[in-house]
Amino acid sequence: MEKLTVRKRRLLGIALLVGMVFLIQFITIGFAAENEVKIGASLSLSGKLTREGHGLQEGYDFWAEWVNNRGGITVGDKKYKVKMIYYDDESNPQTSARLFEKLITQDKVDIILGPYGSGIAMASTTIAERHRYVVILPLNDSDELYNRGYKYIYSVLPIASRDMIPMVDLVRGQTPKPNSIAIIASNSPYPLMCAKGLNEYAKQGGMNVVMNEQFPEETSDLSSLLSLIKTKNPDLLFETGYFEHSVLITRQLKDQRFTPKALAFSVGPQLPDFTKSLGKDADYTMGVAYWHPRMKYKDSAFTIEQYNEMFKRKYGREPVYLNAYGTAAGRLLETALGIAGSLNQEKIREAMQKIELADTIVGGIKYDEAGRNIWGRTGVLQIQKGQAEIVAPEKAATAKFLYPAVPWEKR
Amino acid sequence: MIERRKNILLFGILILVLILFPFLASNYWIRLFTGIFMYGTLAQATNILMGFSGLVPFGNVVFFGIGAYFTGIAMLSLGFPFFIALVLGASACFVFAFVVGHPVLKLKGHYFAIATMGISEAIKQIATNVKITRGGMGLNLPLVPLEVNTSYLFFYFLMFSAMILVTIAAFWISKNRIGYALRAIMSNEDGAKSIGINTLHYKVLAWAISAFFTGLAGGIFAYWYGYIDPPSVFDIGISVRFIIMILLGGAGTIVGPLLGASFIELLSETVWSQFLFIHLGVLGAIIVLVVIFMPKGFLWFYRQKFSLEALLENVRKGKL
Amino acid sequence: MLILQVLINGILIGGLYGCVAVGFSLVWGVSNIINLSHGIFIMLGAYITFWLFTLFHIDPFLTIPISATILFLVGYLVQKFLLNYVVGYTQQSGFGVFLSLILTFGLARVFENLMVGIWSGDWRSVTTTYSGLSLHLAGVSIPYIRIAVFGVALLSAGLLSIFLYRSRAGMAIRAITFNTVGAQIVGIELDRIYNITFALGAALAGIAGSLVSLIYSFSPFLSTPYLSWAFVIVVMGGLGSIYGAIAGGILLGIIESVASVYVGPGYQQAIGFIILVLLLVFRPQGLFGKKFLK
Repeated sequence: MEKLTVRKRRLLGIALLVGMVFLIQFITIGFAAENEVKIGASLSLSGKLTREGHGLQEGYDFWAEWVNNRGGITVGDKKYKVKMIYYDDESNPQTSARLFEKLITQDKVDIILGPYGSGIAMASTTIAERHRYVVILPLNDSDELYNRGYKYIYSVLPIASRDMIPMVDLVRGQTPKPNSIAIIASNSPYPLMCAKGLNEYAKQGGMNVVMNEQFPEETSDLSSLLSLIKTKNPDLLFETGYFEHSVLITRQLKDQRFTPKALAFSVGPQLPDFTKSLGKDADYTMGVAYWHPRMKYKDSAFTIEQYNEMFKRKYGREPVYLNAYGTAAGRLLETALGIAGSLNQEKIREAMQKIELADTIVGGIKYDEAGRNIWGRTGVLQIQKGQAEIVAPEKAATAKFLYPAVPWEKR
Repeated sequence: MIERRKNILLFGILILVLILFPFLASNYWIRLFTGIFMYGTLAQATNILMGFSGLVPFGNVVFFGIGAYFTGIAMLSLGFPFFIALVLGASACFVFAFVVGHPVLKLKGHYFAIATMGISEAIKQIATNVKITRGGMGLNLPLVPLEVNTSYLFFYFLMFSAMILVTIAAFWISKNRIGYALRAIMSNEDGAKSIGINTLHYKVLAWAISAFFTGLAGGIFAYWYGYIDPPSVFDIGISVRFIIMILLGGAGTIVGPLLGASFIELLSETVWSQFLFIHLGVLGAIIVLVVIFMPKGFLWFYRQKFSLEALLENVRKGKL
Repeated sequence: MLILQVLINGILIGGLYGCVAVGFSLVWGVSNIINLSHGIFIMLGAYITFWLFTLFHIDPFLTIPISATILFLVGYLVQKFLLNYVVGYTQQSGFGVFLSLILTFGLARVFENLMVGIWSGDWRSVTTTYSGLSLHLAGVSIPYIRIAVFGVALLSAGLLSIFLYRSRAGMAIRAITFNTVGAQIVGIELDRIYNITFALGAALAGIAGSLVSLIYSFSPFLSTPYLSWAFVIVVMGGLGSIYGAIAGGILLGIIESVASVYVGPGYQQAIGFIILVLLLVFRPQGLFGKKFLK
């Protein structure tokens, strides 16, 4: 008698546990509400890319709210409300891949909007491609992503390897003409691609590339590398990496008392935190102008000025490029669904190939067969007196480019 | 006797269910279980060294990474078909562990654990900087030439097979001379040496076998996910995860690691979907609780007939 | 002169590395606990300094004692209410020894999550008015902050040393490393010593964290590199030796600095680990430690 009750207890315990787990799983399976388009996004909401992931999320959320306030997206002859489903990929590629799979197979989303981070995008787009799901990648422009022959991924940004080229063009036209350049890149896909394009272009133009090195992405100390660069005394120092690298390098360059005639970062000056953290030391630094609130673009519904206002009302501050690209991706999706007239992946894909938008809040959008945005262009911004000014291309410029940079000690 | 036959019957039914399962379940569940099998394989592989001898190879993820990269590079740069590349990768891990094991396994306890971590980190850095691995860019494996649904089944059964294989290996080792030697080492290494056991030889062999299967899982993983980079496949977090699974399930048992893997993976998935922002912390809290209340694992707890007194006894035993 | 600059960079940062390692080494050497929460304790110290500086404008160097005290309390509580329930296993054979390691790993994740939840994952750093200033001598740049950090690191190690050799509690701690059983016979209560030791280790982590906030950007996810350095340095310098930790730290700083320039920046970290493994195999007692049989 004793044994029976004990065994029963055991079995009951196990059954309960298993039952609980399955129950919770079923609760999370999304049931499609009527007239709703489910959009999945797996973003870095924790981990080292948290800030960027949140920026993208704000951009998506802004768009979702905006479009829902107008009744929703028009697909065919019906209007659908947008429902965003977010997951946290912890800034980890494998996690992102798993989450994409979850979005596709369990949540059964209608479309996927991309994450932040090139390694992350590499891993997760493989999953989407396997399932033949269209993915719009607002901020992943690493060339490798589009060199794999994938047919279902679409970038909003232009290709990474061309990101820093407008900067080279800009400095080449200055006097005294710079001759030597040091290039350093953080060791992960996007920065590497960016640096590769930069290196080739600089060499083509006859510049002397005194250094083309990679540093570990996780590094916290580059003093010695920068000391080495100081001994080579290049006119230009261009870095490709992520936000924290730009702040670190600026600080440590100041420590070393080495001021290149022009200093440029792929990521850094575009975000207000850059000038906040560095104060006067941020001046003269160049950054890739993916987007800037003072640019003069517009799309079919609002200008950048109007976007800024609406965004400020919702979030209490001006948007940055992370937000704008997220919103632009949403607007792009609207257009695509309008052309496709259905939520079928193949039709959406065909629609994306047909898109020719000269006017969006991030500039032109048109795709080649690999999903690259061939109408995309980046500009150059420069921090002047604590403000980010557009210095190239000329027709969008808000200020003139200042060159050479004033040494740290004299500021 | 009846107990034994009942266990085998239960076991057989379980296997049958697992074989039929993917044909009835959605891709999401298939993927979930494939992940469970992978961790089951990893946990069992390390159990071969850790469970029997008490040595904890915190850096064992290095073989996961080596297996993944070897498989990937063999397929990409040498054009080998998947299965050959996979076996090559796993064998490379065996050889590596065998060679490195001779100096490293002379170390005791903590020092061995740290040495394995150091090796793993060093290999990770090297992989990030060497051309053949494509460094920080990561490696894109060739796309699996199967239709989507078929590929889900393919990887499910592949991981399942790996898990079965390593479990058989663990079972076999537990019954043969290697297992005996390892257990002798766990209770008293010097004593074992004095009765003529070549302790180093057995430790190295056990480590190499665990490396083989860890590398096998790594190679399958690489093909499964299609993209690998050094921080993902040489992540110490993976090692810690499967070591906790071993502990949770019951180190040194055959079923334990598999139980631990299933539990942690399922729990992880559940917590994730519900508690987006605190899943790391929740997992951490569970680890703390398990270590304090159930250091011998869940299987032990089961054998204690789930008694609360046994849990509290553990707490008392843990004190000085 | 490049080599001089590189060496100085290495030495100065090495002081910080040493400070990071001292607390870790102490806890490991005395209680045989490998504290995987050490990295997150350092981050906690960094946040304390950050918030005191940002909200109340207290000079970061003045926040160091506050950070040390708070972490001391945290460490004390962790040992008393959590770790003391698994240390019993460290005396046994088998993998009981690793339970404390795994517990501290889980704890670190809990702390990490709490910190992210409360303070977000954004990168922080402390920038004072004197942050960018440096001394220039013989063509070499020496930032003042780094000199100060080096000084504080050494001072902390020195204070710890005085405590261990001159105070009763300190002598009790040393007694149990030499002879655990003997010490207990004389009436020293092991678990109370463990409490104080761990608390001290945490306090040192707090100090290290405050120093880190002055030089580097940090976030709750950035605890791992500090932990890695601690491991390498402890093995280099020898378990339980304070001088070893500082010397090992400086040595590691120099090696990393030199390697990043003359071998390649990518190998900066690899070198440390390769040395770790080589040392373990050929000279596990490190440079200054006693040979540990455990």
